[in-house]
Amino acid sequence: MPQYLDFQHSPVLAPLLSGALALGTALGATGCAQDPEPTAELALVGVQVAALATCGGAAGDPLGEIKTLQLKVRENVGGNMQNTLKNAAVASLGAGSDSASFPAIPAGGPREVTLLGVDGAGNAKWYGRRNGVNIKKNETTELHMTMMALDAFTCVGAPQMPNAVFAATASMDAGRVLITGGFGNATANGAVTTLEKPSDSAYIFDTNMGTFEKLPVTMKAARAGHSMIYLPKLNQVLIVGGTTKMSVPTDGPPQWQAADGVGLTYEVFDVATKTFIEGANYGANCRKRVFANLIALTDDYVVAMGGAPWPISSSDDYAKSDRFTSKHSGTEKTGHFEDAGNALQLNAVRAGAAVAYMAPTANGTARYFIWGGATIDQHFCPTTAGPGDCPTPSEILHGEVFVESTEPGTGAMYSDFVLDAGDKSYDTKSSLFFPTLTQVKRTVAEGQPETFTFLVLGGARYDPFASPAVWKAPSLDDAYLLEVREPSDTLHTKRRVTPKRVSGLASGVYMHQSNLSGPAQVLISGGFTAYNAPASFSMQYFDLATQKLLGKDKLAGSGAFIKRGGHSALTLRNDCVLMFGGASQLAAGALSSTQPAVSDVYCPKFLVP
Amino acid sequence: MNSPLNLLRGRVARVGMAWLAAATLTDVHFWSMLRGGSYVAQASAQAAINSTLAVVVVPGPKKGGDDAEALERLLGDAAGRLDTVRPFELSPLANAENEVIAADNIEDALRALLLRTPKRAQERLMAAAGKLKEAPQAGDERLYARLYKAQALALLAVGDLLPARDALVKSLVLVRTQKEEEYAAYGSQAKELYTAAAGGVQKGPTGDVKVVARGGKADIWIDGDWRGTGTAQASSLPVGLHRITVRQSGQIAERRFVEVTAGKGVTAEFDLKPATFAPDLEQGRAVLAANFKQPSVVEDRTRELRNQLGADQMLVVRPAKDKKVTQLQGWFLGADGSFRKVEKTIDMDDKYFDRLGDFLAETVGAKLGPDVATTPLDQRQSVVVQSAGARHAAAEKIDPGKIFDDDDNKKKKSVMTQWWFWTAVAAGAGLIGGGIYFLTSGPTTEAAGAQGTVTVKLHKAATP
Repeated sequence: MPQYLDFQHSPVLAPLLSGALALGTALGATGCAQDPEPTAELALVGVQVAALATCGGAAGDPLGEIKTLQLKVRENVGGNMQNTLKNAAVASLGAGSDSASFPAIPAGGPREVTLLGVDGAGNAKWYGRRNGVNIKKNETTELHMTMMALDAFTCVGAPQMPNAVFAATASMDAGRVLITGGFGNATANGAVTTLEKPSDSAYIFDTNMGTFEKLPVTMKAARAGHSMIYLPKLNQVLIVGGTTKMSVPTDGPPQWQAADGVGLTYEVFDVATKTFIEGANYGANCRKRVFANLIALTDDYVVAMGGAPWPISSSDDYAKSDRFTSKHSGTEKTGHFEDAGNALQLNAVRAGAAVAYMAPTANGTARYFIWGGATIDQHFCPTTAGPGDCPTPSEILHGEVFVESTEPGTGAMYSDFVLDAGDKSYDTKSSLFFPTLTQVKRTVAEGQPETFTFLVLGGARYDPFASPAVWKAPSLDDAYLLEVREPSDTLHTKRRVTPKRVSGLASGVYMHQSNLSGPAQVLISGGFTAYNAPASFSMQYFDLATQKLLGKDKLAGSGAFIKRGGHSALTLRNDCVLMFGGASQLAAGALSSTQPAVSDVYCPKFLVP
Repeated sequence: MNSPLNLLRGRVARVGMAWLAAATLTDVHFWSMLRGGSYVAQASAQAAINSTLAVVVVPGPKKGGDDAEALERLLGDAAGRLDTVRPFELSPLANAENEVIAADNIEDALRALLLRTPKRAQERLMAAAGKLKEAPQAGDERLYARLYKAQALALLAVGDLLPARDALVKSLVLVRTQKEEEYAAYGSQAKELYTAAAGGVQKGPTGDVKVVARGGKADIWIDGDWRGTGTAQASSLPVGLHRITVRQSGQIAERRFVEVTAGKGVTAEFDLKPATFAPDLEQGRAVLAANFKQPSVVEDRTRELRNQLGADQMLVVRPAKDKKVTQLQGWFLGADGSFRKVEKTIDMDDKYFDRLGDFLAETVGAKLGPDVATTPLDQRQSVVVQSAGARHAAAEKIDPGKIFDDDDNKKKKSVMTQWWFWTAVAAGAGLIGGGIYFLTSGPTTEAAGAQGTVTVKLHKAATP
């Protein structure tokens, strides 16, 4: 599923949470050579795509190929600006050696340290990066880096690692990534495909050390379509919601209903002890959500929202959000969800909404932009309804903004913005589910309203007002920049949102991923371009400087991308993108293999300073 | 080219950043507020600015296309003087936000220099230089002049005399109206440096520059002075780097440094690219011109054009003029959605620009401020720090959110007593012009100072 929550522009949260809070991502369970999956379990899961290879490339051995190394050092100067301090210090990598030293590097921090591995032919084929490095004055600063293929795919994982769809990932401390759950099987059920057999396995991938560890313990509940968020103060990961079954019609995206056995609340992964902790009081005060949006507040408070059934939701209960507090007694191992009443209530029942961090408020609290996922309840429109009784397209609340208040764990949702005309191609009359939302620009100018620009790509549109209601084909028009202008305190004008279409998308797409890769580009990967059809979308990128969607000129290696949707993509701490799991088609026939999971990392060429 | 409007326009320096002037004015009061124990943020002077104003002038039914363009430019300039309104640029600059951030850092640096904390100033200047390097078209001549001035003072503070001289000469080449009193607050050494550098600029060699803008309709400014449309020339400019700005409504504005060398002429060509809203603006302007007497059409199109542009308020006027007056008729769309007719007859005398400003101020309900071009580049009052504690506290007030090492206790050299310094200053002015120091010294800026060793341990990714 797409990355629904973008924290990568948060100056406060990004260091710890960059990509960590991508929700509802589809990841596969993995195994490892030392601890292979039992054969019986392999037979059970079997969620592999027969047509899929295990990764997008068979990169060689970096330690064998690299002859020389180039080190480049940059510093952050005001946001994304990076000032080159050291361009290409060179060292040789002797035979059998796995380390190199670079003297006379400008001290201080935080620094971005990039290492390029050059082969015997003089080609920079390998890449490594550490962000936030403090280079110590007159001392040696030792860094560990996993060298990954540049403009190519690096396979990561373990042998016999089962594939999965709609698993979840979260970045943790020290460049580590937690991977959990996901559907392991698909069966035909008449015209509907049923996704089932969720995994309870969990894995940790260490971006710096290159290790891929299968945890000896499992989650308290097997789940897919769940969401995870890292809690830095607790050093724990909150895992919320998910389902054990989903239905995929031939004319729309996968859906879940209450009858699908959704009974999953939350649990917590403790990073230090590598254990899973069951939610307090059987998950009390945490609604059962699928692809929920989790947003981080100060002091490790978390708001869980959305995750309603889609495209129709007959209950407004899911407009309410739940609040997790990290406060706990000495006998408790973690925090818990508490009754938030009607506080933190969305202005619409949402499912598959996209959420992106905006920026701190003047008070230092958080702001988030929420877009899409508005459901319309057709049950309110019986055939005997009179004028004004039925929902109208104007009642679709396309987006809202959450503003955290100065009282810990509280805030409010605001949807009273003006949707300016913008491009006429923007469809305001249907509901958009599962787009990707990435902040690409923030403008703070004296005397002008603070302005944010978000890149919104893809998603599945549902037209509840058509007769009969219909899922619309993924459209090229669902590629646009949303300019969000904050209201002026003096004028009390409303927040204004203006969509402007972006050309260049190869095709309409859903179940894809968008990830900020480095400071200046957004990498778009995978997804399906039609319902009940094989995945055909490869990779593109959006260039922040030119505001254009581009293709192959800097993604020469993208030809090796294993086309799939429902995969996970997470920006790693080295700015490469981990792409894991997914399926070539959400159909029983395409999910019958037992091959290892498709799991790889792509490091775009534009990451080279 | 020689219409009264164009002649008047020639005396108007481009108001690129209205807030900058406001920030400068704030400084007059800043220190007294600081000494009073309460920090007043830099933004306080701009807190009242609450909306943007787009001004569109449509040509009259008979003639006057050129005059309409000129009037639009003048009104846009005048909008920059309003206290609660910021002009919406119909010829926008790319990466304008870099300009704002850079200006903010330069302002902080100048304040740090007042407090005798040159390292803090250098940190801010590095940040500003980085932002400007990232967006070469950002920053007008006044911004760069302030940057170079701050660089000069920071370098002077640590005893790097020749670079200080070079930097100050570059500042004076860009804004030659700087006065000695603008350096008084920074100490006697700063005043002496100014005197020497200004003398060098005034007596140094000169050269000529010619600017050609393709299409022949773009306005051209050289160091903030409007020089013509399409083609412009300036002679006897001090050698060194000069800031050229070329703008045209609906086109992306372009700024560039052009180096003038002694006794030679240099030609710079510009080819503007259309702004993203250019088609909307062109179409909207045509519709407005064709239907100017139909208020309902004008209102509808004005609202749509405002949304397309992204401005908060919009003024649409049509001029009718004779030799002595300009009659303006049009409509004003306010930020609150109100739409009303406006009308004014303006005498074309030596206060024409001010009268246009008054008309704008009256229309939008704002006050007209001074013309930025006539205000000092960096006029400050000195600050007296009573004690080390007070000095530290004052330094922290510059930006509570940023903490830097307070290692500015470096003993300063008594440079002004060294004969070679003044010799170098006197001889140096004519030798400047070898590229933009600090900003364009190549793609890699090696950090000065402390170094360390980085050892990298390589790993392979675990594969399936």
